Amino acid sequence: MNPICRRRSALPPPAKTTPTDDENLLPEVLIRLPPQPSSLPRASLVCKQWRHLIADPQFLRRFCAHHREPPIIGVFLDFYRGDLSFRSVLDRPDLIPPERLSVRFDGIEGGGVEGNDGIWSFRRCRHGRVLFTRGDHLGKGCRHVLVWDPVTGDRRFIGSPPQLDHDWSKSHVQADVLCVAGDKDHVHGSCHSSPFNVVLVCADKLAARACVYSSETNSWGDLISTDVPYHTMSCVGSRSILVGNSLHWFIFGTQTGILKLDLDTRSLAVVEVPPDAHSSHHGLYLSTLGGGLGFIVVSDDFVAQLWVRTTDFDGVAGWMPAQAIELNKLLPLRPGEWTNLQTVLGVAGDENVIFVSTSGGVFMVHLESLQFKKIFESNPFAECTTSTIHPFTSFFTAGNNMNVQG
Amino acid sequence: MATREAGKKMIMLKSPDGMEFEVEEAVAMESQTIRKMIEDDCADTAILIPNINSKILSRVIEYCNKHVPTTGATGAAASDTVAPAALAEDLKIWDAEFIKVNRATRFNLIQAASYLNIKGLLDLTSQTTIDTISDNSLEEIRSFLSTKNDYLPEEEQTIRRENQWAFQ
Repeated sequence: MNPICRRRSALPPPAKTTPTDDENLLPEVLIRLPPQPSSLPRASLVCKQWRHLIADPQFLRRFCAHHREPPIIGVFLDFYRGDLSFRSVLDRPDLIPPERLSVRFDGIEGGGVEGNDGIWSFRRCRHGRVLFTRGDHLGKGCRHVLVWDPVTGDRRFIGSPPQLDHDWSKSHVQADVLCVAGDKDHVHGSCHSSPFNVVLVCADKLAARACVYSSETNSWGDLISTDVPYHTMSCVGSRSILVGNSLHWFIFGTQTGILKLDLDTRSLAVVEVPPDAHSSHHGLYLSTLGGGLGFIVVSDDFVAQLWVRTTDFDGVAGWMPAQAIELNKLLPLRPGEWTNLQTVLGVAGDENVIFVSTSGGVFMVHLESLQFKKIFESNPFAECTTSTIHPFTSFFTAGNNMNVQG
Repeated sequence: MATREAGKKMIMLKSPDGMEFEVEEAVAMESQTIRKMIEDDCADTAILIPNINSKILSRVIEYCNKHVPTTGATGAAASDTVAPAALAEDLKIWDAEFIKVNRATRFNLIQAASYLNIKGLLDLTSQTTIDTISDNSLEEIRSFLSTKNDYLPEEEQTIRRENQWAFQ
């Protein structure tokens, strides 16, 4: 017998006796706590050992990796040019009150004098961060950017890129935020200390432009631009999707197309959209439902038709109609209950949920699983139809602000 | 000693209380710890599994026997192809029965699964434990896991206040 092998005929002994005593086994069990927001705060009150473990960044990484996707813990209601308000979509004990996730604009270091500099407009939430921009008093241009982490309360104030001052001050500027954590096992949902990018984008006549800010270098990159093969109405859609490492927006004008910003190559391109796909619709939304670039057309009778970007054998890209989701049959409503001033409140393209307002309440429908939940008894925007709704996904870690000995 | 039975390579696992279990090598290799030993060509004898008594070891082997990928006529492991839904459903029902054990046995199984690095068994035993406690009160969780509350009352109050909503 090989003498090396003789030594291996017994495995080395394990360390401790019970899983809760064993510091190696405890995380193995606790990473399986449900991903809902109350899980970790509650578990951290069991004993000090649990609290220390749960506050450990290594544990949090494993917790996120185990669950893969953070839950939708609520929605941000953007009352146009007014308040932004959080509403939980979960039941107790996971119901986070609005005041826990409410933004403050006062006392921002370098943020200028409040009231003197236009108002902050909500732009986007993604990867646990919320982005605001501030333009002139009409909301045009972009003078300042604010990145807010609702869970930790951190605010990062960023000045606009120098290139914007002159060229785009009269444009409607869209903005986006995304986590750019480089570690390969990173799961978005607890990205608080991870680096991020902010993207500004706008369209003007026959061109579209973008500029990318990196939190790692604390600087804006070069201006990126592309020609648009039709006359834009300076109008870039407010809801973007992230496919791979490219952001996409609708870009409206004499035609409708999709603006693609490739963050790897830092280049812009316009993807054409077949006009007959959306000639008559009740709503047009970008979607990743097919696993890649796609869009959803909601018809007047509330059928959500998905179109997906495909590539044929010759490498030629095109569009194909995919599944149609009959919202009118899915939701448990009588015909009269569909009558509502603003029925489809929005589609979140990354999360693939659609918000539908009816006389029977507001429903959140997961387009992938077709599971739905009534999240509000009545439309929160009944008197403000230009408002928008945005799901907020995040893991919720236990607070660790106090010093507990032991 | 490793033996052959009906063309299958066998391996001997020994528990510290002196019991010996002859299992197919493929079954034993459900444990990544044992797989590593075998792949390093260092397991050409009976393997002693310390601190896992014969009762637990036999349950672990029972689990591995059930979960080892069956070999098809071509010799390709069935796990290379998508398992039919019916097979997955059957395993799920079997798992649910398998894990109907008392608390001490379950804890020992978690420990064994972790030590022997059997991912499926670790998932099953840990998740079942979490499912048991997640709807319970803090007091019930502490009692179930024999964990002592070592917070001072004022510390406990401070932590509750940090995320008051989570305790309502």
